[in-house]
Amino acid sequence: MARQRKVDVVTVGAGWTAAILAWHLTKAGHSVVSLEQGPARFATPDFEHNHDSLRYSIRKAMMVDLTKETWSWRPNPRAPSLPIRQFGSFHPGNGIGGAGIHWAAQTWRFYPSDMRYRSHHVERYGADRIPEGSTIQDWPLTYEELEPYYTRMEYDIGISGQAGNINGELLPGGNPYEGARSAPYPLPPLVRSQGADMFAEATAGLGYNPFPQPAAILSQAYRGVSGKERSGCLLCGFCTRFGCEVDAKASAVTDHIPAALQTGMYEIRTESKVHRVNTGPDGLATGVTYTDTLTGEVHEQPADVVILSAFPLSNVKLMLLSRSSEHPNGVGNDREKVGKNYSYQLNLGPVTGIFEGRRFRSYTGNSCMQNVIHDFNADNFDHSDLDFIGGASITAGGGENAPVVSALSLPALDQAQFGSGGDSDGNGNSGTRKRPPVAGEVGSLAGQGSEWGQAWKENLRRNWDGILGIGIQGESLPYEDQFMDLDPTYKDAWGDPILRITFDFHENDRRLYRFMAQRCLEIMREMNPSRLVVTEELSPYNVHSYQSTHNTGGAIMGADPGDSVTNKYGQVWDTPNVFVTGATLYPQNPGMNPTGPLLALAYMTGDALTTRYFRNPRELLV
Amino acid sequence: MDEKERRQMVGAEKLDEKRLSRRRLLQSTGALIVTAGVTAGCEIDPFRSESEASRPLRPQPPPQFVPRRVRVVEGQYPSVPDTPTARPETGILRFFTLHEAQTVEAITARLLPGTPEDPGAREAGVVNYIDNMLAYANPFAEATYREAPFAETYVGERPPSAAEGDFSVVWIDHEEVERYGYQSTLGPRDVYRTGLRSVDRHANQAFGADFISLSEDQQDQVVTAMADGEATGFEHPGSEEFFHVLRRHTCEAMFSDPVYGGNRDMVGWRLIGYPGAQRAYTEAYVRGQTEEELPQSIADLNHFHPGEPANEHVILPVSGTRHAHGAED
Repeated sequence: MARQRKVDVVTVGAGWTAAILAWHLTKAGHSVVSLEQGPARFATPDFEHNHDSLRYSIRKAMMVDLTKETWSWRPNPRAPSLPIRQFGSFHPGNGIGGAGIHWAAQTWRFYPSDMRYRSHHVERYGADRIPEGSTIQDWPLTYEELEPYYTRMEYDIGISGQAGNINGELLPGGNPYEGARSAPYPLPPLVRSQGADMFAEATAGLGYNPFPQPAAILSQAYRGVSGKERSGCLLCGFCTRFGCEVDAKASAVTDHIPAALQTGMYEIRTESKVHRVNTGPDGLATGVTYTDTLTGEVHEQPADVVILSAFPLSNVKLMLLSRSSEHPNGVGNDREKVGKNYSYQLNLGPVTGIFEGRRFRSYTGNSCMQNVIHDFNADNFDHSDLDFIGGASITAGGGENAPVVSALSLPALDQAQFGSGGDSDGNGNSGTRKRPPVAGEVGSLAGQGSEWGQAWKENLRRNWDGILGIGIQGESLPYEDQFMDLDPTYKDAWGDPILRITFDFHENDRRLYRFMAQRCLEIMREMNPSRLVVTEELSPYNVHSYQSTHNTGGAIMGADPGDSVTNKYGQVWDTPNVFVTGATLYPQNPGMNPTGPLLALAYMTGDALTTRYFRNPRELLV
Repeated sequence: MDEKERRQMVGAEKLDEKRLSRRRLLQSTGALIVTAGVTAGCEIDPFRSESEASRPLRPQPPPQFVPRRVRVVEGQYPSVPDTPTARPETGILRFFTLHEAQTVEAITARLLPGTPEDPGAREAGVVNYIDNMLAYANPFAEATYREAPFAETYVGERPPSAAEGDFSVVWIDHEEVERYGYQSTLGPRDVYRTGLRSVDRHANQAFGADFISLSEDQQDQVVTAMADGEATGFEHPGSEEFFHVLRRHTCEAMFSDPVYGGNRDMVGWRLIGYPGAQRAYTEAYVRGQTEEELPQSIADLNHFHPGEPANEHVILPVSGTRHAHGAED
């Protein structure tokens, strides 16, 4: 085993939170190494010329290599698990920048009430409204504490949007429910699609408050922390599941990685797969062990601080695998809380409208050309007389509709009003499927829809670009019976067990979905389509339809070591020189994309590490 | 880590010269971008000593973003084929037998019918796309986890009693297995080879001849039976499953870039009104205020040069920053 020179900090993965921390730390004079399992990649030349929706959307070129490692799933603790053999439900990324390269770039701040989730619901509705078995809890910090970091992040990478609340003053055209912000977005909103405008008109007519999707996609040229001038969005139509050719879509490789590399104190080792966090006799981390996957050589990387900044599923796996006599259940797991509070989302398209003969040009642009309402998100609406808690974003008008994906699931000409369908992100491959078992045999070889012959051809000719879906991004709560642990059967390419996910939708999800489907239906009727297709009930969870890469939890932060794995800085209670970043920390999963808050949290942790931690290393920050 | 584990790890990955050289190249060319360089392994120490590290950093020169002059994207994601640079040669079968190819062409021509004036699957070369794909080193064309044990399904309360203690199979309730996605031992080549034989078996049972010898009306009856899952003569894949495989690949072939072998002359894109691989659109275009772009293949997409026209409407931006980064400066 080769022993590398010791560094101050090693990060697992070179994704976005790793890059933010590396940038903070290297500026302050600390040496940082990131070990990234995937390749290096930058806009030039790696994303040039990538306008190939077959390769990126269908074949998922930028995702984790499932031939080497996957995750298993089972619906409940009594059912057997099987490996996820091909991509479906979610798409973790591979390579520097992680999933934040191919992301959709929808960028939010969570609500103040999201961060007091349990307290808020108990205070307003009573503890008996919390679903049985649900393990929701408060964040260990307030919105106000995180606000300055949100603002810095938004200005560092260039977020486009319309503020709704600046220092308590409500502004027209923005989200009236958002927490007070100290500054407007640095850039005006992106171009909105024709469908987004129709949605805005319909929802405003119903008395709701539509606003443009906040996006980490530049509406104008901008210079972020890398010092490099980035182009405004070219609306090319190849965005989610792609790397941005002109760096208009913000990511670690547009800003924080170049900025950290400029210090000369940062090294990224690609194709380096971390297997273990090593700990010493005092129980503290001494570094990590990894394989150089190009040579097969095993290396040890000693470090004073280990940062687990991979995708949540990978962070949890690594913690569970890192067993020692000091941490027999794995690093961070002395109280057996690692793997708990796994949460997902209801990221679905309940209603699709067919506007015969219309040409929306929804193949252009990006997913963020949409308008949004939050009138039914979080607790922005009174739940007193409802049979569920939580809410959902409701959206329409996202672009980048590629026919190689969406032609498969085009609603059939003769399809009744009530049937299958769904397309929450404009990419045509989400939603529920009414078809009888097909995927079970041939997986992604099969697709949605079954129309064929001259009817399919005429339908494609007339209606492929005349479809407008309304999507929801709904909360899904954590429960005692949904969690992650190590699979007893299946192994990765290095002989380690893969991570097992135990998850299914619960009754609160079904009720929430039913309510939201009706709201979507009302809005769609207002838009007056030729025909519409609605899915009124939530199907059981499946792993073959893309829904959302918003897998959260597993090493959650909290105020009390008894019900969490880390403190608010992601510092692991039982191993204080190990930090966890990202959505791994979220106690539950709001009805918004998780990236904005996890970037802000990384800024806060970066601040705490550079200004306070190293004064008293290995001590818990307060 | 003990020696056995270590050997397992070392043995798990084979040295690949091509990929190795790519990474080394990225790191050395990466030095153009950064001041101290990104280095491989432990050969070069990129860090200053601790005493140096605690000194204030020297003022940094303005960042230089020198594009690396190499195009080494090939093989970056080894499980997924690279975008071809040109359409594969037609008139050659790489996987199918002639009879199989004729059968695929005939079935897909029923799924998406056409004439020379109004092209469909046959005219677009759908069979070329599928044949080419099945000949890939990885015929799945996407990353696929293939480790055993595989699933078997059961009907009723519990797996057959003989299954107890048998760890070579994972038993799943037949009503639940669909939720687990692809779980078959069959790969795409098996699916086609077996599925096409089943199509002919059914055609012979129903009409006394192979599929390609049937009338279009009879062929439609076969496809209908498949789509409904009622065609006889199928086992694995089932007739409905095979119908969906064919439909999906017809869709991929019709609407993917012509460099993949289908969508000849971009007839699929012309059918639906999709301009294909464009560099950029304007706001006016998005909003339907300008004329529709003509379809374009990725092979005709001009190389990317900031400052030059992306299309006739858009100049790729190199300047025009309005908002300076303000949080720290």
